[in-house]
Amino acid sequence: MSTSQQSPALGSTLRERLAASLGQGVTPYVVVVGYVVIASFWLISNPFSTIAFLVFLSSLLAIYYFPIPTWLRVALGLIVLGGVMPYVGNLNQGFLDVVTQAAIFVALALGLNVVVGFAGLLDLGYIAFFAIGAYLWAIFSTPQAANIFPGLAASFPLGSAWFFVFLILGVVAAGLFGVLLGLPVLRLRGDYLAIVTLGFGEVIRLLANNLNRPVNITGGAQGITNIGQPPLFFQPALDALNVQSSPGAEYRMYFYALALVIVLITIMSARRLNDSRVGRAWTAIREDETAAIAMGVPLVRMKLLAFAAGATFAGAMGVLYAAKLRFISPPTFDVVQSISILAMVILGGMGSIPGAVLGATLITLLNLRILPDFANQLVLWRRAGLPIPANFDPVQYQRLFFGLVLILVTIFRPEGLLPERRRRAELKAEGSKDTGEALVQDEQNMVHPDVGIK
Amino acid sequence: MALFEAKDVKKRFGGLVAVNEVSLSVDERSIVSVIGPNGAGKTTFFNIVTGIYQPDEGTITLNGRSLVGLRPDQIAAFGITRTFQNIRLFNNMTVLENVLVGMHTRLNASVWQILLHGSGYRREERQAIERGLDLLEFVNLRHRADDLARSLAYGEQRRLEIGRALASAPKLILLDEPAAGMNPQETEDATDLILRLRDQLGITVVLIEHDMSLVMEISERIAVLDYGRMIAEGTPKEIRHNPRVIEAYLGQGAAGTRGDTPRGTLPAQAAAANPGAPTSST
Repeated sequence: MSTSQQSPALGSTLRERLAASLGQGVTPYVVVVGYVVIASFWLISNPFSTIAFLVFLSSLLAIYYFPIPTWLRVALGLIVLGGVMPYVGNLNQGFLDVVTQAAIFVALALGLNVVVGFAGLLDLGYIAFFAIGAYLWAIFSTPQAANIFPGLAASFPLGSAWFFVFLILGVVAAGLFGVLLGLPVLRLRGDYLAIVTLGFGEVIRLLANNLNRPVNITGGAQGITNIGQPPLFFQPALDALNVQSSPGAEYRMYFYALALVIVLITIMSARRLNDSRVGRAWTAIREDETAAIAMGVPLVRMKLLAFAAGATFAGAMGVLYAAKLRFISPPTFDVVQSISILAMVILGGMGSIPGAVLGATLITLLNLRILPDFANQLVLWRRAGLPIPANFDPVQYQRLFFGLVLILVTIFRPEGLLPERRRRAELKAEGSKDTGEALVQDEQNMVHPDVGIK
Repeated sequence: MALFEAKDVKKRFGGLVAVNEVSLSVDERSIVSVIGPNGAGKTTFFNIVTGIYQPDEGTITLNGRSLVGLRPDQIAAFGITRTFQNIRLFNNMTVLENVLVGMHTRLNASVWQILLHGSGYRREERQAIERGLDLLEFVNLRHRADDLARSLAYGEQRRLEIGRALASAPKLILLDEPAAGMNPQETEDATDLILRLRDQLGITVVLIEHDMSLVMEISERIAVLDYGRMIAEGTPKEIRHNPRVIEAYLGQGAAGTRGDTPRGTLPAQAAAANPGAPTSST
């Protein structure tokens, strides 16, 4: 997110507006650095305040959007996510968990964004790929695998060192299933495609639910417990440095770091793919399939590639998720999850990488932090005498809020919070031809502070 | 030897024979026009050549290699690209990106190379952009490279379609009504551009066009389709005086029925010294 290779043609207007209002001098540096420092200290001194936490996280947005050079972005990003956040995590594990959870959903949203946003293929069964990664590691890191390969029973469960191998295998398996899903739906578009992918997602979940007979592969509805954890290869280093810590805290930090690394890799991959001939082919397919194919874009290969590439992100995160939770069961992978991820993509702005990151983070925060905290606050207010009904619990209404947010976004900002330039133009042009042209004109006249920064 | 050769191409849609035993031979570096009344099967013929439809019968070859059964993207990679009658640009991509999509078959970067972002890949991208800008220069759109395609004026959109079709370095380009809806000045520019395709780039051009002055001015040969059949083929002069062509065009205005015998007497027809212009193998 902090490395900026965006081509000037796709520069974001928010950044340009900021550049215009702040000028090109030292002001933006001072503002951003000041923001990061104040937000960090506020959170460190109030490690249980959700508001401080939100302000702190939004410093990442500031880092991304303020017109500062790339090296400063990278440095500030490292300080925030690599320094302050782990430190706060030691004071309040909850926040670290929230960020890790958000990172998992960010990778999922980025993956779905490749399929839906880049290539325009509506996929309502995306969570299936997450399930495939999760079950892959769950089965082989527990005695479950011995049921499948009775001859090799002695070698299961696999040791923790295999975790990283399975991270790769999760990517490969999900990619293969992506192709498998892609093949039958190649000829379908729009609604038909959505229905078939929805079915695919359910098939995978039902398989997980029912593959406990005749051979117990997935553990059925009980799921799989005691899933293996990744190797603590850095333990000797910690011992040598005489760092005292509990395994729980270590793993928490470990998963946080792993999730961040995977997210960084997915962001880079999504970005590079989108800026390449592959990404251009996807956009062309989304725009006009017939014209794309007549210009030499191999439709089948590019669509399969979109399904596979999108799926890989979920596969890797599935492996991590299983190792982190140590327990998985089919309901985790139901269709509501697919819809949630799609909602994250839509909220952020379809086809937009920063949008997917923001959308996933916001919705995860809303679900895990903001709504529960609001509920607690209501309880406090009621005790203080405010007339709030006794059994009103906002957490129960999570989906309602969720739906409301989506409805409001589609009404007031149909292109998403951080739209991709193309989508914005598309939606504006549908609204009115004049505005569309005015907008295009507008973009031409804007300064591009990113030009020259590589 | 002819660069492009279609023999007895036939395409049915249910009971309708949209293209009926059409044969067309195009020499390298020539400009050939396909004309005919609306619904004559001209665009269908283009769709068959570019692989969007498969022919029911007949053979199509480019440089002696058969194109029947190939997918449209394979045919594009093989050397035939086209423009569309109702402009089909990628509206929300920039002008340069439109051309880069057209270059897809000429770029080789694999997914791994793209993800690793090595120097070879970056060089290829850089060269692609340079080539794209050169092509935009050729169609006189370089100054609009970073604008969205949808923001272009009508004539510019037509030029961009040609630029995009050129990006795959075709041997043969099919232009579907390149001057439709243009004013005389724009038509002149379009004519000039088509001639430059052949003269400067050495590309063979087949075009569908209703603007007869354009057709007569630039075509070496003209094929005339009517009701899916090729009713005439020859030089502009031959076509101008061909009675069947005149009937196909002017007979339409009559009661809507057509006989097999030529109706009326037209000055051009009367003056025709050589009424027996070669007709197709119908």
